[in-house]
Amino acid sequence: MPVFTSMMLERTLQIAGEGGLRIDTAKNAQMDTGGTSTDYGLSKLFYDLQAKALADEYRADRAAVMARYQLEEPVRRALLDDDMSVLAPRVNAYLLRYYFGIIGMADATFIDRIRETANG
Amino acid sequence: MAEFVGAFAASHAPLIARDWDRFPSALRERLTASFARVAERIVAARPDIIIEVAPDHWTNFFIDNLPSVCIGVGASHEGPREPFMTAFPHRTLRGDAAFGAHVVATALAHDFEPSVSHRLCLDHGFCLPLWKMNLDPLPAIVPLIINDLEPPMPSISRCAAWGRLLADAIASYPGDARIAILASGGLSHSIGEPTMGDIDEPFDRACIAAFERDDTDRLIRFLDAELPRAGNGAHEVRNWVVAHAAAGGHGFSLLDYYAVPEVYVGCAWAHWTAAA
Repeated sequence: MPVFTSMMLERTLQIAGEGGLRIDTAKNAQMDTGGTSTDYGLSKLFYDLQAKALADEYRADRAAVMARYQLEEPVRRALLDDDMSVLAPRVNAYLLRYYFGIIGMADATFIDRIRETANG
Repeated sequence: MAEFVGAFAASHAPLIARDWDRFPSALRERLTASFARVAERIVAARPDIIIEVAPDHWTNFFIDNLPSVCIGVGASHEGPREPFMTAFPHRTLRGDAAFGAHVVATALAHDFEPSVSHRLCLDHGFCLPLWKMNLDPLPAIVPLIINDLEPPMPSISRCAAWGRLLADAIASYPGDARIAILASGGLSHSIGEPTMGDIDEPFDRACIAAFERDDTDRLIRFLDAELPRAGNGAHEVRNWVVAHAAAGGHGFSLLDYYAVPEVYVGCAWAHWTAAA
């Protein structure tokens, strides 16, 4: 479910213009994620995986842990395939980095992969 | 009456803890010296309480409830849970409930509405500088969490207003206490983004120059324009803005700066003197 859409941002800026409210447009533009919204279920999974017990369980059986979270099928598939291009636009970048660290990806590999994602 | 005894800043890159034993000895020595410079100033200021301004790295808060600002009013705080912080010597950190409550009351009286927590877990953002500065005894810590991680974040001008509010809270506190501010984080870095590993030294140098100019309005304009391009981690400079404004927008001196590719961060340490 989208938490902040482009339409909402436009309305916020419109209100700012009408009422003189000071809005830092450059900063808040970060919320416009180019059509992909924050994925709550995926974010919650990544957040919860900071707990060692759950991380251990996830490393042993990803599908079993994933079944407890509300995840769309493309996201579920991306988790099984370590597909960063699907996951990155849907979560906070810190949580994304934590996640790939938790599943054992070295920083150097992560950096290579996230750069490849950006380059299409 | 309470007395403001200075503001300080230090980077908190977690890899300083995680990868410490893998660093070349020259880097370990340089980082140790940089933290020691801040520690020396803090020890000289003799604070009873440190208001520490830092982000929460998904430790206490999540997107189901994400405050822009949270004040820790507990008599104690939980130490860091991250595996790389297990050697940090404090599993519990002393807080100051009375002063924390006074900061909240002052905020509400000035039409600021912070979130309030009676029990925070302080992650590496708070604890890494305290660890590397090796303060002994550790003053009471009153945490001020600023959301530097997930948009929408508080504006730079609002962070400056928070700094001025902290100065008011210190000046109006009836307790007999010496109070310092420690801003944790920054400068440029990028975490989990395609630019991860990049350090924007021109931004960092310009940022430092903006703090040195004693012109808070200009500093705000600079950061409004440049911060979105300096990597997501650079948003932690909001904490420095809080410290800067609390010190009256002047008295800044850079204690050290250098890019540390090993930890992906443009690391900096600074001090704002208390006005005479």
